[in-house]
Amino acid sequence: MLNRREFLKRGVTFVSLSLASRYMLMQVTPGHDTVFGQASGLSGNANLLLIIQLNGGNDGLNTVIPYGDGVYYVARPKLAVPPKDVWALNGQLGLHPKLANFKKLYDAGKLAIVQGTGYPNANRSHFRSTDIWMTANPETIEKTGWLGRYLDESIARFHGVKLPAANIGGTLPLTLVGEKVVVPSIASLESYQFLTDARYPQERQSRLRLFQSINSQSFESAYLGYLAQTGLGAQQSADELQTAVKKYTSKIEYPQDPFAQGLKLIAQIIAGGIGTQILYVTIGGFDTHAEQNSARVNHPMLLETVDKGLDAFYQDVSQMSVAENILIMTFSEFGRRVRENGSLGTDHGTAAPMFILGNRVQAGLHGEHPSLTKLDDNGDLIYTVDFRSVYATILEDWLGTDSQTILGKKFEKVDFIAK
Amino acid sequence: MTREMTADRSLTRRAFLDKALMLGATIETARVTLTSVETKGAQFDREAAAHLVRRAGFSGTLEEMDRLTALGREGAVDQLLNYEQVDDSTMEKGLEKYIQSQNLNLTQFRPIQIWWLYRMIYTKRPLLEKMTLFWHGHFATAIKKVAIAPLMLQQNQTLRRLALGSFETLVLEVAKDPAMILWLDNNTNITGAPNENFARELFELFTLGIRDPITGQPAYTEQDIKEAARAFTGWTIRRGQFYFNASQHDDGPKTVLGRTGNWNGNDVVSFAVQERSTGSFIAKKLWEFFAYANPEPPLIEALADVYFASKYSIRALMRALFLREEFYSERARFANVKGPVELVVGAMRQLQANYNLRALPLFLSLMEQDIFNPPDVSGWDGGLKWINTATMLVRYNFANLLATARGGNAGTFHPEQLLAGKNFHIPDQLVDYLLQVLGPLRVSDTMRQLFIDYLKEGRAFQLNQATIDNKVRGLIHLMMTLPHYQLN
Repeated sequence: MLNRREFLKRGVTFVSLSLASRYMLMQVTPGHDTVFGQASGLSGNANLLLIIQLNGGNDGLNTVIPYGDGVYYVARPKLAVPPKDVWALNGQLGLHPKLANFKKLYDAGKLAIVQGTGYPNANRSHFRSTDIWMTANPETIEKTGWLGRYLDESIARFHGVKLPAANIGGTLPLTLVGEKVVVPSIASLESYQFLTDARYPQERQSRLRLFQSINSQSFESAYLGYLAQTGLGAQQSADELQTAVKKYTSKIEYPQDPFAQGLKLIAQIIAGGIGTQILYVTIGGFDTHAEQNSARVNHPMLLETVDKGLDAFYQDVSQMSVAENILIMTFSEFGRRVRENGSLGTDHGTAAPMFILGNRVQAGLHGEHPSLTKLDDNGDLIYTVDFRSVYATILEDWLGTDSQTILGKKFEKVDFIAK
Repeated sequence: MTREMTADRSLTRRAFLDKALMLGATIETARVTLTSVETKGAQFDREAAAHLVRRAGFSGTLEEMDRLTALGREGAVDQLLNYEQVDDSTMEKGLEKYIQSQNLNLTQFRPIQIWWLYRMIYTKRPLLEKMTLFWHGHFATAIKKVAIAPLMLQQNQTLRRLALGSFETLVLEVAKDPAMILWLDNNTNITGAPNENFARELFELFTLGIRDPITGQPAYTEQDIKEAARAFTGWTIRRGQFYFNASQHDDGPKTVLGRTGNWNGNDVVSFAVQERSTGSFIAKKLWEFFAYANPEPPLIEALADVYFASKYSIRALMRALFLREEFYSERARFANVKGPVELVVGAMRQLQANYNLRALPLFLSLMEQDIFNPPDVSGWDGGLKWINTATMLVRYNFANLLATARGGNAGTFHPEQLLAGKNFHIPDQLVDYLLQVLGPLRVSDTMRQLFIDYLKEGRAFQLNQATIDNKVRGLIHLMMTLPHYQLN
C-alpha cells in the first residue's frame, strides 16, 4: 500500500503535465534569479498597445459627424449636432464638439480615424457583439480573445516579464483571455498588492517573510507546490507593480473620473518599465437608448470624458522615452441606428468609427464613410472596413507578428501605421 | 440574440480538454492497479467529519465537526441528507431581516448573489445549498444573457427545491424554467424552424454526455438532437412563466434515442434519463465534484446502479456516494481545489465571522466564480483552473481582510470568541488549535515551526488582548494563505 505522500505524487503527474507549459511560460517560478534578473524586458519589438473599450455601443454618427450630409439631419431632427458646432475635418465630416483634444491631436498628425468598421451579418446583442469584437470571430463562439492569442503566441518574447499585459478594472475582458497566458485585472492599485493588516504596518515585513518562507518550502505534493509557486509569483508580480508605479510621479493633472484615473495608472505602469506590452481599460455608459443628450445619459459628457482623459494621458506619455512606442486603439461593440428613436435616443446599430492614436500613426481619415442612404434591412449602416483589418494592421505593422495565426485568415490591412 | 450564442464552444479548447482528460484517465487507471483503496473507514474521526462537511457543505466550526463525529459515518451522512428534519428557520428569519434592514433589491444581480451567499453562510442545511451550487454549475445559466435577476432567482429556487429529488423531475423543470428557456433560446424554437440549442445541451451537458463514461461510445447522434429539438418546439415563456404554445409545436413523428412517436419534451426527458449513459454521466460528474477526479469505472457503475434502482433518486445516489469507502480514502482527502464560493463561505463558517456580505460578490468575481453568471453553459471548469496569479492574490487579500475585520464597513471577526475558554500556555498549542479550526490542516513540522516562530519572534509569547488583535489575526491570515488551505 502506498503512503499518502507517494499516493499524491502519482496522482499529480497529470496535473504537472498539463500545467507545466503554461506555468513555465508564465515564469512565475520564484527563486530563480536567472529568470527573474533585472535585465528582464521585452525582447525584439518594444511597441506598446493600449485598448480602450467604449462599452455599450458608441453612437458613431454623433462622434464622427457627417455634417455635410443632409440625410443625417433628416434622420436625427432632435439629436443632430448643428454644422456650426462640429470640429470640421473636411467639408463632409467633423468631430463632436466635446472632442476638442481629439481635433488638436488630429491636426497634429497623431490621430487616425478608421471609418465604418464592422463585420458581416452584424449582431445587435451587446453580449454577442462584444464577444465578436473581443474574439475577432463573428462566425463561431470562441473562448480566447485576439490579444490573448497574441500573448500566447508571443510568450517567448516576454522573457522574465511578470506582467506582459494588464487590464485596469474589475473584470477581465475576453480580449485578453488566452490559453497559456493569464492576464490580471487590476481593479485598483490599492487592491493589487499582497495586503497585510493595516493597523500594524510595522508587522508587514515579518508577515511577508512568513508568507515567503511558507510558500518556498518543498511540498510533498506537486499540487501544493503549484499552489505555493503561483502564490509567490502573485505576490512578487504585485510587488513589482507597486514598486514600478512608485518610481513615477506624473506632472500632468488627470481628471478625477475612474477612466482618467485608470489611464493614469497605465501611464505609471508604462513609466515603470517592467515590460508590460498590452494594456486595457474600459469606459461604460454608451448604451444611449433614451435622452442621450440629457444629464442622465449624456453621450456628450462621455465623449468629453474620453477626450480629456486621453489628452492627459497623451501629454503624460509624450514626455516619456517610450512616447514613440505607444499606440492607442478604441472600439465599441457596435454603433447606433441612423434614425433617432422616439425617446431622444438611438438604438443598437452596426458600423462605427475606430480611433487610432499615436506618434507614429498615419493621421487622417481611413476607409470610407458608410452611406446614410444605402442601409441594411434594419435601417443600419453597412460597414465598409472589417474590424479585423484594423486588428491585422496592428498585429503585423505594430506588434510585428503574423496576423493570420491570430485571426484565422488574412485581412486586407488599413494604412494607419506610418511607414 | 443569435441562436448559436451559447451552444458552440471552441473546438480547440474542447479537444485540448478531452486530451487532458484522457491522459488523466490513463494515469488514474495505472494508479488503481497499483493500489487498493485505503480503508480508513473504520473510524470516523474529526478529520473524516471535516472532510465530509467540506464536500457535502462548506466547512464549519470544530463543534459542528465533533457533533457529526459522534453520530458516526452513517449518522452524519443521514443528518446532512435528511435536511428537511433540520430546522433552518433561524437562517430564513435572519435572511428576511437582512433583506429589510439592508434594503436588498432582489430584482438586481448583486443583491441576489448576496441573498444566496447569506443562505450558504448561515444555513443549517449545508448539503442543500451545496447541491444547489452543484446544479447551478451543471445547468449553468448566466444573467449576462438572461438579464432578468428574478428569473435567475426563480431558477435557483427550483434547483434548491428539487436538489435531492428525482433527476427526471429536475431535468423536466429545468427544461420549463424561464431563465433556461431564454438562456438557450428555446423561445425561438418553433415548428418549421427548430432551434437546437437546448436539445443539444440537454444531451451533451445535462444528461447523456457526449460519450458514455464506461464504454467510450457516443451517447447520442446529431440526428437525435435534431429530432429532440422538434419535440421542444413551442416550449416558451409568457409573462415570466413557462408557456406551451401549441401552435408553434411540431406534433409530427420523431425518432429520439431509438424510439419513434409523436414525442414532446416530456417524452424526450423521460428517454434521456432512462439511458445507461445518463446514469453513468451523472454519477461520474457528482463523484468528481464531491470526491475526486477520474473515478474508477467500477465505482461509476456502482453509483449508476443506485441511480437506476432508485428510479433516478439523487438522494439515494448521494447517500451511496457519501458512504463509499473511496470517499474517505486518502486519495479523496484534499484532492480538490476549493472553489471561490467554498473558500469564502467556508472561511466565514469556520471562523464564525460576519464579514460584510456586500463586499463578497466583488471578491468572488475577481476569484472568477461570479455566481448566477458562469462563463458559459458548461459551467465552471474547477480544479486548478481556479488558480492563477491574479486569483491567488484575491484569495490572500480576502484572507487578510476577513482576519482583520474589526467592525465598520468590513464587518466583524472576533478572534477572542474563537479562543474563549482556551488556556494556551505555549504558542505551539495556539498554532495547533488554529490549524484544527481552519481544516484540520495537515502541515509539515517545519511549517508548523514557522508559525510558532512567528508568534514568538525571539521573545516569550503571551496570549492577551494585544497579541490576539495583532498576532492571532495575523496568524489566521497567514494560515489561510497556506497552499493547503486552498484545497478542499
